[in-house]
Amino acid sequence: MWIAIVGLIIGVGIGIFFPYNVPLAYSNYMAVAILACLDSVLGGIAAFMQGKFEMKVFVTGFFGNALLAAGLAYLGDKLGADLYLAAVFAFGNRMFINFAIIRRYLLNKYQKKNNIYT
Amino acid sequence: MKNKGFRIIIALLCLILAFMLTVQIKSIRKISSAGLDKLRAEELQTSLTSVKMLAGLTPVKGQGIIVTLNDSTVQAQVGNTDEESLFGIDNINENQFIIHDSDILLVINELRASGAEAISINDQRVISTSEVRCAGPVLSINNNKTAAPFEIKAIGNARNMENALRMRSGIIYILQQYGIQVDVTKQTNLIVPAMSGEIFFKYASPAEGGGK
Repeated sequence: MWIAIVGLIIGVGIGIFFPYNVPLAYSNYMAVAILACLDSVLGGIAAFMQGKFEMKVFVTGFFGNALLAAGLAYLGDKLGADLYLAAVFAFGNRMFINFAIIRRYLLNKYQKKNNIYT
Repeated sequence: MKNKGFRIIIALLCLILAFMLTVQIKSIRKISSAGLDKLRAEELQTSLTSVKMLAGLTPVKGQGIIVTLNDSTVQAQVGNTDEESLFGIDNINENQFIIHDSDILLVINELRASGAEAISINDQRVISTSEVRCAGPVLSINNNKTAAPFEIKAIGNARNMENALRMRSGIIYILQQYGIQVDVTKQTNLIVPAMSGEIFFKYASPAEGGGK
């Protein structure tokens, strides 16, 4: 748990001192890729809470979804249709669902604690 | 967590995510604050300045050498039929004592071969379409007439350029055989002026393929 936060902080640190910026043309692809990664992380946390966490699924989802999302955005650019919106809606939707699952389990955990003492 | 490996992977992925987020936010901030058009204009401006420099349209500075050529001061003896003159240089031909366009072109060639990046002759920048041609008693460069002494400035690796010129049986050696005075000085902060005239192509136009 804590190692994840350490990883986050180190990542932010490296990002701040990284001298290069994302080129203008690619910033859209980067945005949807980040969205996919966030969804993966939330999905991973939700799976962990349910005891269904599988590392292979998590890692392949992390990179696979990011690539697919960026690829979809790129295809959309070529076709002239905003296909990146599909990624936005899909991942946004999943993020809310996963967040609901996490919320439910956290609330249940604390409710159980109360049951033991009272 | 099952084992140490899992924790490392999780940390790594969090690192990647945070890194992507930070770089993306940084880039977007720069884009939205500067405006897309302004960024594109800046990129084009940098490209333009660099291309102008390569074409010789801007003055440049750097280390280099100054080669000064002056006509020979060897006394010519016209119409000398003495035995002694037969063993020396042919004194009757005056032409051999003055600097010709071919001499200057040979010097420029050696300079370029040893990596000269900008060359000027008597403050006339030599660009890709510059001619160096004898025109009567003077030399014509970029349609400007100029006479001896010729001061050739070249920016590049000073040591390499001087050594190339002073090579055994090289251009300076040959010129000095005819008594042409050659002087080479190294400089650490030489300035070569920009091409001062106008250039436009009447016959050439952009073609497809090859290069940027």
